[in-house]
Amino acid sequence: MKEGWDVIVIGAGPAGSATAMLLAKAGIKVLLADRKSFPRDKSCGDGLTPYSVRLLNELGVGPALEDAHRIKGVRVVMHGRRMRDFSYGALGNDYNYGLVMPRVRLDDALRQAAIAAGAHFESGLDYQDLLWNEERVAGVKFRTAACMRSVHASMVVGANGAATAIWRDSKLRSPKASPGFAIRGYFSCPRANRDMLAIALPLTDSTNSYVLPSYGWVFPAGDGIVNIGVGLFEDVPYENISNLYSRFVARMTREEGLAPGGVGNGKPWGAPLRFDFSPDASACPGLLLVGDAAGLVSPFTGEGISYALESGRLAAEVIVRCLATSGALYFAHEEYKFLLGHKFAGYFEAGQKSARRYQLLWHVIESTFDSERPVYDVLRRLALVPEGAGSLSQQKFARDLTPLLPPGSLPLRRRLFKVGARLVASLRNDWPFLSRLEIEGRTSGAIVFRPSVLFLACATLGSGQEEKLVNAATALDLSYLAIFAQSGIEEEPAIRNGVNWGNKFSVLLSDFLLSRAFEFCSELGRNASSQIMISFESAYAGSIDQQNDAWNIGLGRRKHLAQLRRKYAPLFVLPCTLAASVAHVSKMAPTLARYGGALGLSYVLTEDLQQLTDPGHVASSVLGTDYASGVLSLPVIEALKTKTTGAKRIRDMYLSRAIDIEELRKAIFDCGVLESVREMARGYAGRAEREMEMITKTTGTTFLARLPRHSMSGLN
Amino acid sequence: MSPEGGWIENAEVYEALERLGPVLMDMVSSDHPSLAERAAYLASLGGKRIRPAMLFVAHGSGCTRIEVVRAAASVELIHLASLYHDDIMDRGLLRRGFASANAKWGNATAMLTGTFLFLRAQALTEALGPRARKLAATSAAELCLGQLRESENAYNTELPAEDHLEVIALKTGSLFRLALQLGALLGGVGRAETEALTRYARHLGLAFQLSDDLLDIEGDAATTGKETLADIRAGVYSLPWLLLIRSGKESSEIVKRIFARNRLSDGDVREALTLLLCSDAIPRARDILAAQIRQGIDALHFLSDRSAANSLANLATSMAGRTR
Ligand SMILES: Cc1cc2nc3c(=O)[nH]c(=O)nc-3n(C[C@H](O)[C@H](O)[C@H](O)COP(=O)(O)OP(=O)(O)OC[C@H]3O[C@@H](n4cnc5c(N)ncnc54)[C@H](O)[C@@H]3O)c2cc1C
Repeated sequence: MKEGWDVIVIGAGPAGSATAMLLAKAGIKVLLADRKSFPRDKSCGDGLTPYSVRLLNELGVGPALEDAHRIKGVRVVMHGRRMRDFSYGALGNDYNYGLVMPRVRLDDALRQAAIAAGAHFESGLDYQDLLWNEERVAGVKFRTAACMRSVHASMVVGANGAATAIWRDSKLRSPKASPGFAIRGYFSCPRANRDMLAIALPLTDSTNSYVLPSYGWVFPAGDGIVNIGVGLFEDVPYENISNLYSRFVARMTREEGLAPGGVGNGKPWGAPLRFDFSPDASACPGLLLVGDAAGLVSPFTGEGISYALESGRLAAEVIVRCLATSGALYFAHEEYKFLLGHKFAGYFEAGQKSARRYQLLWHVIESTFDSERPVYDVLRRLALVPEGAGSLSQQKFARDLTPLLPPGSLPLRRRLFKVGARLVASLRNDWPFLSRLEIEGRTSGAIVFRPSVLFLACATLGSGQEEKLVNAATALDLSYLAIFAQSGIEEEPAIRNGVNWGNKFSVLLSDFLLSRAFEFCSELGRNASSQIMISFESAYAGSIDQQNDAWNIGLGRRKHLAQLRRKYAPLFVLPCTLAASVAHVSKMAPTLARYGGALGLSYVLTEDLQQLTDPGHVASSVLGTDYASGVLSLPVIEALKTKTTGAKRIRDMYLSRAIDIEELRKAIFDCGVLESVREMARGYAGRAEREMEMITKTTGTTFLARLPRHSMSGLN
Repeated sequence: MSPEGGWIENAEVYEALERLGPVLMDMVSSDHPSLAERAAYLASLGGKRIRPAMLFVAHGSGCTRIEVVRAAASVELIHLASLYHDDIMDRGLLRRGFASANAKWGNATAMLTGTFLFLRAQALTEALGPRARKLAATSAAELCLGQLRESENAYNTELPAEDHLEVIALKTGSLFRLALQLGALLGGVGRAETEALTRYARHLGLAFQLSDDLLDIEGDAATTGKETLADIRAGVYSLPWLLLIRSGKESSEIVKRIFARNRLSDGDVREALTLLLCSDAIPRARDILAAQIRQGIDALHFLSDRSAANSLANLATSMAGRTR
């Protein structure tokens, strides 16, 4: 029997059903095949992140999710002692909540939506082998209850989950044992109606002497039921997953009052965790792999549903496009690999080394779990709540600047985009994870404040070769990311045991970023690295001066401002003056430098104010004052000059060398000095603005003129 | 100059090394007094200046020219910068017998001082032309990458010895290579000879690190005090350890298990060390060290400057019998 389909999708999990649905919607003849009959269950934590919820809604299955249990955020418990809550509420869109929805229902809803869209679903088709036409996959051989059946198609999509037979058959890679494994069970629990997912990291073995690369979860499903499970990221010789599960369940029985309940009554059910994504091994001629089949599971939290849906959508888009153009189908796999690789760059990563890299990050996340330093904050969020439960978007420096761009700014945007791509390309091989920083900011299409923006806007005043401009801008972004990394350095007590992973990471990261920056500089043929060096030299000197005056309540306003000017202004001046030199408008350098200096001061003062007035503001951002180390800010200095009880309280705090930021906030507020600082910040912003108004109008300078006020607009 | 300079056969190199000191001190200076003191600190403590010496040797006659001395100082500066940062990462309190920068001024200051020197070095190579600039940037990137790889592989008992050697080549070989390549570039040394020097640098880097590791193990075996085998505790396993683990013998399983433990007790460490000393891993590591030295010396046959070749061969040979 010979059947003809445009596309065969093997597996009707989230990845397969999403692919089939979108293909069918585009009028493509698609067979959705699964060996199981539906509804079928799947071993899973059933947790849907906000991004999954959004994707599901975009796929049109929103109504099916209505009675699922709503989730407000994630609580991460580290070593059973320290915990942190990450709220989804800060996400700035409609989907700022998660859901817990049993897979038996979720997967069936998706499958039915695919059928409704016109896909042909058949169960009882068990994948056996691929059919080939020369070097191209041309169909699938299934085993049915009765016989073997060969089905042909122009394109095959492998969505059969963590099973690896298809890897072997397609020769995409040798089917290795799965890198990880996870087990779950349902229980009844008195606290099943909570609205937080709970994740425990990492678990230990029974003797408590080995820390395992593992995690446990308690996901409230509503209706008195919780989904509990454990995952192990790699095989370890001294522990097995079922023991780990039993111990975790026993612990939760003690702590949470579990009792068997729900589907299976606590009976454990496990499945492999495939997080060994590699773009190159995700497609070959005639075959695209999606979801778990492509290894798309987070190596930090074991979540994979959103990636399954997203890769399914991408595969469908590529196939639709390629089927519409004659001959294009031959390149579909290349296009898919490229797009997938770009989308998930850094999230998961190719090759053997990946597991090691995650471990380094694990060490860092674990040992800096209590630290509020911005670099660790970002790292933590990128790993544990990747869709950015309030990640960068919460921070002021990440506010979108797009509205400030006048019409006709396309070249500027294009260059910024190139800088982003170059940044990712330069980090991706060796620090794949870091490229997320960039991608995270960009997926939204937002333009956030960074030196490349300042540089490229200033460069619109001159000419300069695009290539050089982009390289210089990339070098700047890399160098400033290095400063960001350095903000992770912490002082330590005199007794030092073991490794301080936080400090180690900060040093490695900063040096690495700078070395990359200089590779870009070395292409420039200008004295770019000298300019960077001189600016950093001043910034560092300012920083040392500031540290020398830590706890010094006698520090005067004038001296403090001089320190601020030394420490921060050069970092704002540098992109402006470097632009003048790379874009061949040296005569503009003095004006641009004045602009940058004034902008810098207004930025820093604004940051200080924000830190004091907005409790949600990241405690110690890079530009903000590091109160814990005794550094004074202008609001503090002004407050100390007043004859109020607030001033006395502040003085006492500094004299006893113990700053409670909340107390400090209140005391400064009581002194009533914030308005005068705000006035100063406004003064600097106005000065910067005027510099720009006096010179030639370009798209860039219009943007620059709007920037200072905008940077202050977030102040309450 | 220093007694360690004994390997150098070219008298001009000693002269160049004499000129290096003041140039280096000039390079670490800053108009900002607070930064200047910190930046000059490690440079003022002295050191073997092995990288500048290599640069001069590779350059050959004329190496006392100020331009060459500056280049040598830049390489040394990158090295010094990395020491500031290493001491933060290793939580080292002593450097060359004195308080480390981090012990003296804290981690944050040590961090930015090291970074400043690193930036300074890069900026200084700018004056040496595009090729030199590129070489400096690439070597620095490799150095950082090597350190990154090493940290990624912390606690990795499965790391194949070859991969470990690659990490070392990046970490230790990169600045040796930069020194030789810059020397060759400024001295007008031809392409084939520069390539020979590049090969030599890799072997020397490996030999340097391996002999260091062997010294560490032997030193620890002799003392077995509290602070022994800090590296092991930090999950950094040198070649002898990896060879032992890979040997497939019973002892390798025991050591692996010990290393997997959450916190190593002194007893754990002693047990592991005893197993290592009883195995053939140390002699095997010595063989690899000897092979690196040999291959390094072999690469030197291509050099026409015999005094340079002899000097570098001496340097390589000295790696076999290094003592503290
Ligand atoms: C215990 C556990 C807990 C997890 N918890 C979460 C969580 O809370 N949140 C989250 O987002 N992710 C979680 N994940 C990951 C998530 O389950 C997967 O990433 C997701 O199911 C991937 O979807 P998929 O469509 O690629 O594959 P699957 O959902 O596995 O679907 C594959 C389909 O292919 C079919 N199939 C398999 N073999 C064949 C064959 N030979 N022939 C025909 N059909 C076949 C199967 O029957 C199945 O229907 C968890 C994973 C595990 C193991």
